[in-house]
Amino acid sequence: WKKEEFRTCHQTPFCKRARSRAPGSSSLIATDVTISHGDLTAKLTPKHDSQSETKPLLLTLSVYQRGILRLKIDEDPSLSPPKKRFEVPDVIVSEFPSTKLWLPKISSVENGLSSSVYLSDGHSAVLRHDPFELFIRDDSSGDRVISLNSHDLFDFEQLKHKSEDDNWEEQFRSHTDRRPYGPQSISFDVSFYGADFVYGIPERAASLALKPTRGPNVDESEPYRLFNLDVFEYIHDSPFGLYGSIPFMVSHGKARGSSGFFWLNAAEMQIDVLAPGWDAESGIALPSHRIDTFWMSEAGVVDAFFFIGPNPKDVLRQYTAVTGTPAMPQLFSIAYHQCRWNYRDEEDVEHVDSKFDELDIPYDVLWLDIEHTDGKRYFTWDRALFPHPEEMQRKLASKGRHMVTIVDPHIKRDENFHLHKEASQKGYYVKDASGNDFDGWCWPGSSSYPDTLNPEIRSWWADKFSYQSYEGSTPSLYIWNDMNEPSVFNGPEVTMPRDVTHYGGVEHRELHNAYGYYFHMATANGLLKRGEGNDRPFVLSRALFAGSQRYGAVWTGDNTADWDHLRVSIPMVLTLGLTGMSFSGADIGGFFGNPEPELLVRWYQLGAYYPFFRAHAHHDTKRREPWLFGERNTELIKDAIHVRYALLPYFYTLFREANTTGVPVVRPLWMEFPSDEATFSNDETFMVGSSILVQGIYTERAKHASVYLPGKQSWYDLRTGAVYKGGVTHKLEVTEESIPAFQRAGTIIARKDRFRRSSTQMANDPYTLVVALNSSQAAEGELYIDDGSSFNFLQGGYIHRRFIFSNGKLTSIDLAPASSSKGRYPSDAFIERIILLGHAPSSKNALIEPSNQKVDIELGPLWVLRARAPAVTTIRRPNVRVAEDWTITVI
Amino acid sequence: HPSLLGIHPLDEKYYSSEMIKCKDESKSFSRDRLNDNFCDCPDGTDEPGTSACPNGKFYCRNLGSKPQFIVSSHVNDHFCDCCDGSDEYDGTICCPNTCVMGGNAESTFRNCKSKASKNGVKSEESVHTGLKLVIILQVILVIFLVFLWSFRCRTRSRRRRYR
Repeated sequence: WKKEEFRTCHQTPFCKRARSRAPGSSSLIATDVTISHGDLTAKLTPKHDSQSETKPLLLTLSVYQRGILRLKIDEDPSLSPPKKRFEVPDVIVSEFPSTKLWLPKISSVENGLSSSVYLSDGHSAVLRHDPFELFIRDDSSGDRVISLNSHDLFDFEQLKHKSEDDNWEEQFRSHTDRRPYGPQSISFDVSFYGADFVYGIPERAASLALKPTRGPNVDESEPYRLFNLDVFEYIHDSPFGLYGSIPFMVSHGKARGSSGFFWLNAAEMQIDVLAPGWDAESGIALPSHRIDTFWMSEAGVVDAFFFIGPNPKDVLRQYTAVTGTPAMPQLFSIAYHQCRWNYRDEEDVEHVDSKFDELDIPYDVLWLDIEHTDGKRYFTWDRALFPHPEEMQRKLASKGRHMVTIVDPHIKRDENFHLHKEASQKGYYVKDASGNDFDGWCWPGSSSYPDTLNPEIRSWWADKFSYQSYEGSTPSLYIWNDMNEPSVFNGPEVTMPRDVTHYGGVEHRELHNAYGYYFHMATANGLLKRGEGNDRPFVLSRALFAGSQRYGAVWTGDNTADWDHLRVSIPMVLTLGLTGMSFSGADIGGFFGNPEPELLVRWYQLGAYYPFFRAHAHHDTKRREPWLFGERNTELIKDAIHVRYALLPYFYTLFREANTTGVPVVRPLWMEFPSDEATFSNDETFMVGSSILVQGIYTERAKHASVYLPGKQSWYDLRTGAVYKGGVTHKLEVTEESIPAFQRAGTIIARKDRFRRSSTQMANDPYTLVVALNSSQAAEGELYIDDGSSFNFLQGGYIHRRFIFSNGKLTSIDLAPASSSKGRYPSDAFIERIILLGHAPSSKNALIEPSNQKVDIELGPLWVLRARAPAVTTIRRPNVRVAEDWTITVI
Repeated sequence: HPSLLGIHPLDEKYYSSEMIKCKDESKSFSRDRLNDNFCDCPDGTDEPGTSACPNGKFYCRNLGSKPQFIVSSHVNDHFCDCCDGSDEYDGTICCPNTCVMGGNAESTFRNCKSKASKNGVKSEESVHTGLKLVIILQVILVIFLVFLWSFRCRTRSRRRRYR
């Protein structure tokens, strides 16, 4: 990779300054502690003996439902700072403020040295006055949960008026940052108590558990960087930041469980994870079982949220209470996507589409990259190559398929291009340091960028997606936002200069990490507007920030056809899910380079379990459609795609769970097994929901795989139905046909075993239930169904069932609330097959009630699509409706 | 015979016995399980006329044109594959018979109101109902052709009178 194009901490002045500070260097104390409008407020004042000319800062502590603590620290506006510091708008969901608890009183503790407020039952927030420290305490044990500034590293560079002597300019390579407002960085330490590992703060190609970046025995000396960049050919196992940033960290340990810390700030951030013993010389006494972290930001304010857990899923619920749960996707978007830079023309599109039909391989979306446009002018078509885009889309739509086109934020500066002309006349572009439209290079050449921080400009941008404005678009067309970090080929670090200005005088340095987020938001709102609020948007974005989960999917960017990139895709996807961005995936096969057939097959087999499942490749690579690698490999790829299509009802149910709770579709093992230490740093194995465990094959010609299966219950091999004991590492023989995947004993999964051209065409097809019995011969599972595209589910237009198997009886229970403003989703779909795993094949019949009908129990295949599938106990043709209450008793 | 749906004429004899063997010889099934919309044979032998078996094949007779096999996943998938329209017998979509006209079968007509069976289960009964609909559509097409022919006759008559 082009390492020299990007800055290291040493080359980044605020990072260098912050890291050079020693523990105990903070000189602030909390004074004037009081309750104001239900919040605890205080001033952070320099000590009398300090040499600092620092003015007092304003501190506000708020408590919200679900055990969320919020800390804000900013300059005092009454002291006339030169500028208002930037607070990131439109990330916190509108319902969040109404969940604030009104603090009635402050309790004074430790003879007036600290102030304490109620946080939730069993927890308090304590503000220590001198020196300033904030921590959350478990009231019953007295143990700490999380703390801030326990090492007195807090620093807040206040804005100053420039004097003649000041030279605030910073150089990097040939680029100069004028820094008109001078240094304004913030840094502080955060400690997680009882933590064995910390996770989160995407995005980078590195392990799930965050390795220490500083301290004893640490070679790596670069902090984790959160600065959205267009990184060409990123490398694996690097702390370097990539396309997105979510400044949210989760801790987990056996002793206490999980907690989280989120700093709502869109400026560049650098975060150190400090190795145990890093503070040996400081003399600061704290409980030894903890992980310390050091957070540094170039600008902004402190707007920090503390989440007390104590379970991993609780932390996610708490975090998404602030930034929102993932949007409910359309069903087609969680199916298989076929992409390439670029499908050449309409004939190529038709050829690829018909070849899928000929080989009977399902797919739902075909993608077009930048070459479909007229000279990289987005919202246009190259009419020589794509003369009839509407007809092309309608042909795909007739098979239930969709198309995605790319729309990037760089707009070609061409006076004959209506979009540029309009944006220029209206003054909708971001401005350079001289106040002119910023001009930077990207795919079209000379380009300017819409200022999507501005709600008015976001609304204007959204209007461009109407069918009238976007000529050639149809209801089955959806959108891809690439290069929205934003990428500026001739900018510093291949991005926008930091002194570019946005709406309200905000500098780019203050909002850089959120620029792509606002662009994604504006685009999703465009599809919402186009569909008159009746069609769920689908927008894939490369850049991301906290809250992006509300607007669509992301992918992990420009990876490589390499076994290491296959391997690192899992911790990347898990980290995104752990920080709210559930709907993510990596480019199947690798964007750069040409995969060996074996690597491609393994990638399809693993990718079938990514929340976002898309094959994509660079234009310099060889063609890579499933049929180009020989008959055997075509069959293997088709089989992997079939696994995803069979599991679509299960995946859709998981996306609903994410939409209501924030718990991700794909999870680290420890989210399901929080007390099992063997799972805490395992990122080669993962859970798909709570019922399926998957481990990829990450090496060439692998003959065996060691798979750790957690828990006390057994696991059933997803392919063979073979039983494996839980709590043990199994050495398994590996074939080319599949990667290790298991269903957890005690779970029920809904599947569809009929495959069509697309998921849309599968809508009315029957279901198969796979009941995996545990040691008590019991199991449970859920199924969520709706129309797959509209917002009718918000008014009750859905089916939500729980299936419980116990004492030889399978019962279907309605989970949807009885009263709905609209009717339930009407579905005549039925269950055609019920597979019982772990059931002794002694019974011959089952009785269905209330219809009092008897059906056969036989040995049947675990998978009808596979020849030589193992025989398992099967209830044949129960044909009960998914929407109804019923019981089936094995007799 | 409704249960012969999707079967090649040369195979009709194969399906005439009371117990029928899966062609992959994995097992046998009774005749009442033929096209009962549940997959018993991994190779799809028992479900030639439905989409129940992923590996199944459906035979389109395509009278007036070339007969063909289509994959079972294309049966009742709301897309017309057989030029005689026989693959969309559940009535969710209308597929006119384009065999005589030599037309391309690959098209979709979405103007039909949904005529899925009242009980929603794709039973043998609904297969029969769907087939009836196909026959009715073909009759309508024939009537249309007759009308077209008679119109041409009248035109010719007019010319004759002029001379």
